[in-house]
Amino acid sequence: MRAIILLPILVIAAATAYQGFFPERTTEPFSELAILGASMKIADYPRELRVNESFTLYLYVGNREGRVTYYSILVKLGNRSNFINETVPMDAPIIATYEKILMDNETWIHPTVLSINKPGVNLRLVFEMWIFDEALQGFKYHGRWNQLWLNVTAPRPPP
Amino acid sequence: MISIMVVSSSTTFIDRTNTMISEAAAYALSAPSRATSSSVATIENEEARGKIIEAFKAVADAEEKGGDVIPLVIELNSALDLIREAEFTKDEALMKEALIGLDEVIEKAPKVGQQGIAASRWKQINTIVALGIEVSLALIAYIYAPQAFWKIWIKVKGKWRVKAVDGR
Repeated sequence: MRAIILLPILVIAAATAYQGFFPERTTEPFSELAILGASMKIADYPRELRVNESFTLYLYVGNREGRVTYYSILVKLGNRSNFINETVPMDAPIIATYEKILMDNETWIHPTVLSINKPGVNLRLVFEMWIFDEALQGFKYHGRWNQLWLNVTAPRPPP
Repeated sequence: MISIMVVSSSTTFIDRTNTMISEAAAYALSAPSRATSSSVATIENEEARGKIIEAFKAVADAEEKGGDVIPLVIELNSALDLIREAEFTKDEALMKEALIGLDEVIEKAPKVGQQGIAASRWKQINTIVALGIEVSLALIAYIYAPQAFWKIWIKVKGKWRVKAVDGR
């Protein structure tokens, strides 16, 4: 009899104590990086472009790190020979940088209009995520990257 | 071993940023986006860069203490946008405005942190009070519940009569 009445009260007390003294923590912190096409979907990416032809992409960044985070997204233009993976950023020219500070669980979608002024085949437009590291006093490559393969052809000669 | 290599590589890389941007300028260009600027270059004003980092650290610290840093983050992002715009348009007044904004964030952040600590203390006090009430309820139930239950049972069913049923 006593146990039947005591049990629910004790369960409620344990839940109260847990919520009060152990704040919610992110168990698996991570960040999201994505490139969306002109229609803000994971589609409609440019593939064949003319020199100096503008194209629109949307940058998507999501913070699930469990803390406020300072992001820097570097846009680089390389080619097939440039190496990149989760630990090594691409050694190629930076063509744009986007910086944003995001709260935990906040996402950011940012429009970006780019154009390339030289022809090339199998060019890689790479978006790298860097995060401000207090210990380093600077940005550190976070291992997240996306890429688009582009063929850029010379403009048509005037008739 | 690998992580040490990454750290050193990233540091070197950031240091080369400006050189690489000028290299890239010959190759590709980025037109202004809908927001404040094209962000072709990273923030070059040393004072602004230092203040952004200082403000970010202050905000991160305030958040760790449990403070509500949403308004500070909004202010910080506005200052970032203003700095980019000021560098793009070479507008001194805008830069000044952005630096004032950053100073405000740096000034407000410790107060927000203190508010966070106070809120967290208040939450702990609430928890202790709630726990006290729950434990008291448990004790009262443990001592008086059986007695109360049987009292109620007798009140409800005390006048019932036992009747023999045929066939049993």
